[in-house]
Amino acid sequence: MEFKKVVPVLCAGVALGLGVVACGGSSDKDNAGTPAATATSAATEDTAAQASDVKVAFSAPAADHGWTKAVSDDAKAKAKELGLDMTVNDSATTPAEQADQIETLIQAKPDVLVVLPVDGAPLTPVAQKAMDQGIQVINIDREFSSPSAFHTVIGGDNYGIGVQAGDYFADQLKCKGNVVEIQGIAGISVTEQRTKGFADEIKKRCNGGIKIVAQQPADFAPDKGLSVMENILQKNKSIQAVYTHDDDMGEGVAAAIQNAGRDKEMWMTGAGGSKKVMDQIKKGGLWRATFLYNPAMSADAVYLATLLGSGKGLPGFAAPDIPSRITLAATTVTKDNVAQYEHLGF
Amino acid sequence: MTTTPAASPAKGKLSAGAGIKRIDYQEYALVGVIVLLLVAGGILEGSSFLSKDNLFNVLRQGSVVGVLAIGMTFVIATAGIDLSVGSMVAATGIAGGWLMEHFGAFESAPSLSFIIGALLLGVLLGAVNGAAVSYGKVVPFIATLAMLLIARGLALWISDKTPISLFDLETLRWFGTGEVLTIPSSLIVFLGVAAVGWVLLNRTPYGRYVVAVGGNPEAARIAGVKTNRILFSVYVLSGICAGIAAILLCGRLASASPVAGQLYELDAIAAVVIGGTSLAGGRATVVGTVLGVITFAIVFNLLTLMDLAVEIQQITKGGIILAAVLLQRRSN
Amino acid sequence: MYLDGKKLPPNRPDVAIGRGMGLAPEDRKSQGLLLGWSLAKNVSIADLGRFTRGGWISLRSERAAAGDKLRELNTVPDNPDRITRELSGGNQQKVVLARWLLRECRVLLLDEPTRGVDVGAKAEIYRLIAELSASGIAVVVVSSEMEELMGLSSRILIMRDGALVAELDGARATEVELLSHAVAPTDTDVVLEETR
Repeated sequence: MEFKKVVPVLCAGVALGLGVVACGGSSDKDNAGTPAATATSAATEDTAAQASDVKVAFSAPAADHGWTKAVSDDAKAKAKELGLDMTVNDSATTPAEQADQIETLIQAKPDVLVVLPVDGAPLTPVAQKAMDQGIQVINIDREFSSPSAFHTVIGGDNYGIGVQAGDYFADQLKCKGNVVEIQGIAGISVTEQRTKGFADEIKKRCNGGIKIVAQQPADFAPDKGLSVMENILQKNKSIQAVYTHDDDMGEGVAAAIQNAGRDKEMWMTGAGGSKKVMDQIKKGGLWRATFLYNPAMSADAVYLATLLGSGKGLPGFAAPDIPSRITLAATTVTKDNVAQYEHLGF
Repeated sequence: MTTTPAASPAKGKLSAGAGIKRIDYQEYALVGVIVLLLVAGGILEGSSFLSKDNLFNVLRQGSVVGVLAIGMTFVIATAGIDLSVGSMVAATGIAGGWLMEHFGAFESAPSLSFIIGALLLGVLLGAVNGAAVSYGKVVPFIATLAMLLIARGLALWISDKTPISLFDLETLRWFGTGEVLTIPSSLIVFLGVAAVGWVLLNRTPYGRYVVAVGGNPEAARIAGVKTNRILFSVYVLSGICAGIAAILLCGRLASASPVAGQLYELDAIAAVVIGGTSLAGGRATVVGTVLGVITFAIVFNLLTLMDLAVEIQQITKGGIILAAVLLQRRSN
Repeated sequence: MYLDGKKLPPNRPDVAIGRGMGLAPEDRKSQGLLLGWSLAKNVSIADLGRFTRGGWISLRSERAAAGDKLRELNTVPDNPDRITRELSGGNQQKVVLARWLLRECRVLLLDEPTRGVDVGAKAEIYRLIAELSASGIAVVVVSSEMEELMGLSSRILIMRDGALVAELDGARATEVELLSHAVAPTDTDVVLEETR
């Protein structure tokens, strides 16, 4: 039916349009602060001459969430900085949709395909297809299930976030207390990793002293976080701390706690590193910490794409090719060090 | 069958003769289901569930989808459907936030400007839906599906994908979290909307015309009902309800979020359907819708209290919808 | 179409009804009635304003008025709370007629009013049409039964292929005359023989 064809085109058109609007507004969200960028700002001059010759295609999930929006914005800003002509798709909401978009992208035969998949496993076949056709693939964050489907993976460490959080909770609570966990979208690896890292670490450190009294997903949506937390507050009359998988979603959780007047009873943590939450952490109160999951990894991926496309290795490194795996450290941001990381807030 | 002032704990019952019994049965059945749920909840979770605090919590949460479901009742009564209400909640919330931020004249009354902004956009988007269906002759499923995308896009665009903080809007937050004589204000708004909806549907010519258009549009037309106007109006009603729901939600969330409201339309439709309103049009009940909303709100609350895995929650919800629809079939 | 000298917009039943017309359609089940509704609601639908005060419908007066009209027409059953689907064809037709009687319209269009109606009800409908006509209401009957037309009408208009081809005096028209106008003429002249 005609309509079926119109909708994706409309979506892509709207997404591209939004991308143009977003690009205009993100000029002050510079990546000068990221360690990778600082180290390579000297090298950028050398590569700039050839970088702009590399044809890059970029695919990421729908830029409708603070974090995914920043991913898209940061990648576009980097491309602009490098003078790259980069095709961007940032509207997919399901793996199937994204796979279709990538199919279309690779038909234009880019040199490098940079992908942040909605979820790694379902998008592995199309990534493999790109690699088979000679298109180099850089995988951001959510890893494909087969190593031959990408040249390089650069990502945050979801499991590491869980572990850092577990450590933080173990220290702050002195291994004793009731904890509530509010997860993201059930069933994707991001969620499973953050849950597992946390669970493993508190078991290792506290061996049952910290109890997870409730564990519910809230789909990265603040209104869902609100309702879910409202119900959990009814059941659990003594909560010491709340571990949430996401800053934006956490704001809904915080609203529930504040509405119930229980913000002195407990404290909470998020993940991602949003500006709003970092401000709250600085002020002190309900929000105690967040774990950096810097969306600027997409900018780094774009930079890596130009290196890969022009056959270079990392500047200052002896190896002639870029690494196959770069894992960005998860950093715990608390009141003590928030000033250091504020500029990274999205 | 049509609108009936049938049994409910709060309203009296009017005896009306054969045939009308069908909806009575449905509503009695739902009251029974709610009682069952309350008993089950009491057994499984004790005072966490049955406390006044929690029960009001349940009703407060249900009020958002509840308001949407009242508007949906009218739309479904005309054999239509509105898939865009969830996105409209986000869009109207953002519109309210935008108006509050950008209009100097309203700075002294930020809550008022939010409310005006939300309701205005609700009317506008509803009118677009209505025009598409009644004058553009677009099938309601398609017209409102398009609006689902457009409204979501509008919400993301106007807000630049960033939530708008409403922390300081005390009046607005009161709508979401306040109380009148210990009864949550959200619930009062929901019941108010439901009462207006009931009167409209059951005691005014407008309500008759709505059900007539759904039951037999040709006969209605020949009897002199202005069918196009009726079709147009129910979508506007739905849009207004989306604006009201946004006020309640954003008041409670203390922020207008562009990604809020996802899948709310399905919750609203489910509540309307298990309440006894027929998807084929021509038969509608506001009381049934209210009971349907309460049923689902209790289920969500109970499943969360029990900390059940999300997949169990999904299956349970789907099972309830199936059971309710099968019950409807049997009573026909 | 003109009513009282003023033009009526085509395909706008609401305007026509507003000016005093009423229509009992050919297919009363699918075009005339809401079968799932009570008799009262089907009768009142064209004239709800009569029972509405300040936007609020008085169910009691609606029921009473509908009941009156149904009884006038000897509808069986005449309980206004009964569901329309349960009535026989003839009685369903009476419900439609009751609607327009209630509205006190000035021109009543009846499209095949006795189709699917039993003999007893037929006679009643004829009686009613005569009464209505006598009281000053213009009744326009569309029918394919010639005997019916001849018995009822003061004037008979014959249409063929959408065009008006003849107007006959109701009292004096014969079956042959009606047929001859209704059927398309051939090229050759045919002389009709008067059989009477």
